[in-house]
Amino acid sequence: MADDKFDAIVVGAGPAGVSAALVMARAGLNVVLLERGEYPGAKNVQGAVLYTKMLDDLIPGFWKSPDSPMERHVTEQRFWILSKDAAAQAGFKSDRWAREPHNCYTIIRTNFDRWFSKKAEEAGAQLFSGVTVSDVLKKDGRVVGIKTSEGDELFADVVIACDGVNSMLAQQVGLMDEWKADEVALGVKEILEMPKEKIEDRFCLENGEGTTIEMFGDVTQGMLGYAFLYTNKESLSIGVGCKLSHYQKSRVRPYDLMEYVKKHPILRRLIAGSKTVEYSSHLIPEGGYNSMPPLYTDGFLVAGDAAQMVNAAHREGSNFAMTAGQLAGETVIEAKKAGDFSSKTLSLYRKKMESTYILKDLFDHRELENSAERHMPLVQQGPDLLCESLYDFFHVDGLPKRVGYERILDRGLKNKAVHEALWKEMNVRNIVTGLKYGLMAGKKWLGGR
Amino acid sequence: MAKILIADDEADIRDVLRIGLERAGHSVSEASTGSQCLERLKEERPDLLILDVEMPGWDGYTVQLHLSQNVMTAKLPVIVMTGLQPAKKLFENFKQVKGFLNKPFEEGQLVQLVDRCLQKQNP
Repeated sequence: MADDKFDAIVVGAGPAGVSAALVMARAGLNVVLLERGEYPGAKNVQGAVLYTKMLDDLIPGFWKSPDSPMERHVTEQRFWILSKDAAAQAGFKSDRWAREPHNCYTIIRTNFDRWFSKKAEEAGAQLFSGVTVSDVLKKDGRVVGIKTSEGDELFADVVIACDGVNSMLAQQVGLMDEWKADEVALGVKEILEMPKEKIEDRFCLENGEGTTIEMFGDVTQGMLGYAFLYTNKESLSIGVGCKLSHYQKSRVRPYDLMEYVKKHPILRRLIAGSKTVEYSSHLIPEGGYNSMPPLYTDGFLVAGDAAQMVNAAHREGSNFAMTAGQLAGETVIEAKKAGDFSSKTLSLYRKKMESTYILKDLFDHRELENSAERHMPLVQQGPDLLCESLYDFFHVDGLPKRVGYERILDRGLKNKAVHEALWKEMNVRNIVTGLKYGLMAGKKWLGGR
Repeated sequence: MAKILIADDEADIRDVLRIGLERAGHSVSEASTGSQCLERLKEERPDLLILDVEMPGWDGYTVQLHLSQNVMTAKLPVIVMTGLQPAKKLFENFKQVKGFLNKPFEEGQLVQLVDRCLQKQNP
């Protein structure tokens, strides 16, 4: 690469980076997109479910394209709470999800990222793979470019850091601090090959439909996290993600946990006869709103995993990345028109983000993990309690039903974790909040009559 | 002279490391993925591991968790190849991580760091 000056340098060709590059290139900006992996997607790991709306905003009707890398459109979402030998199951299946535009698709990131990055290239962005950025170049306190590990220096009006969970750039410019182990999760994943017909029979699917299953309880061996199983065209994606601090405390090895998940008596039936063809693992930023860095500084923006944009509770991240990348790109287009790339102009990015679902969702879910951490005994014992209670409820053993009901009630009332959780939550603050929301709902109800 | 295992997916980086380390008198073996690294550790008993963070397949952090939780590898000194990045601190929690090597690096810097880590292990 020759030393050169661009309108924008985007570091990282994942969903955030490609979205930003695509939007800017379409507006005629001179954009360079740098990817560390051998090709886009080579080092990226995701479950993976991709929501339609955000990609449709960028590439309208993308699913109709013959080269679309979508695996299956999801028509059913299941949630399982597992004990050692049982599963309490809930789920939702909708025929509306079988109609276009679908709610979401399963994808395989290596295929998707290659396809998506090609769209940015077709729009005019220059993609360079196998390029590691080692330094951010600054002049008079503002970011003016980057330096690669090969020693090349590239200059631009603005640098957009979409370099993922291990973002070096956001830290170099002083936006991001070092992480604590409770701000990240470690996800491990395998792709299991299985014939199309077998998948469709086993999961009751037709015409390219797909199922997702999220699993809580025994499969995380007492750690905070969840496992998943998604159907692709001719494979299944199976994985488990748990908080890193819990991995360190429990001394469970990620590979052993993956094997444990695959051998679970309820789960193994679904994957029987499959063959592992790919495995991967990666850190997932889960610090959320409270750990999010400032999103901009002079000549610099940050988007996607690099800015902790993940809502683990709703398995959303790639959609956040796409919207954030798009907004970052649009901000740069406006900054270019104004001829000003100072933080004052780039602060528009934060304002745009505030008006979207991203910051609202991250804000609303900011305490979710902390609350779960406060009630770990309940998180650990709850699945067994639930499965045992359901066993008593459904099992017929010749005793009167009232015996079973008493057993269920007794088990719940005598459980220490339940006591502890109730005790912790019965504080003045929660009672006042409960009353406040109760009154608000009451007023709305009365007002509506 | 020490036996050193390098785990990095980039062949160029492995070459630079191997040449530098062999010139300093060490013997070197290589792994290009995290799982290959764990496999190698079952067969070999290196004196030091140089571990990359971003690798396809198992990443460096997963490898590190496995190393620290296996009695055979829990004391193996490790140099983590990482620049300034938020995840660096996560590696510092492991006692067996003796040093960090930032890419790009000078040969002298590499040899010095390796010697220091090996000395720490065998005072």
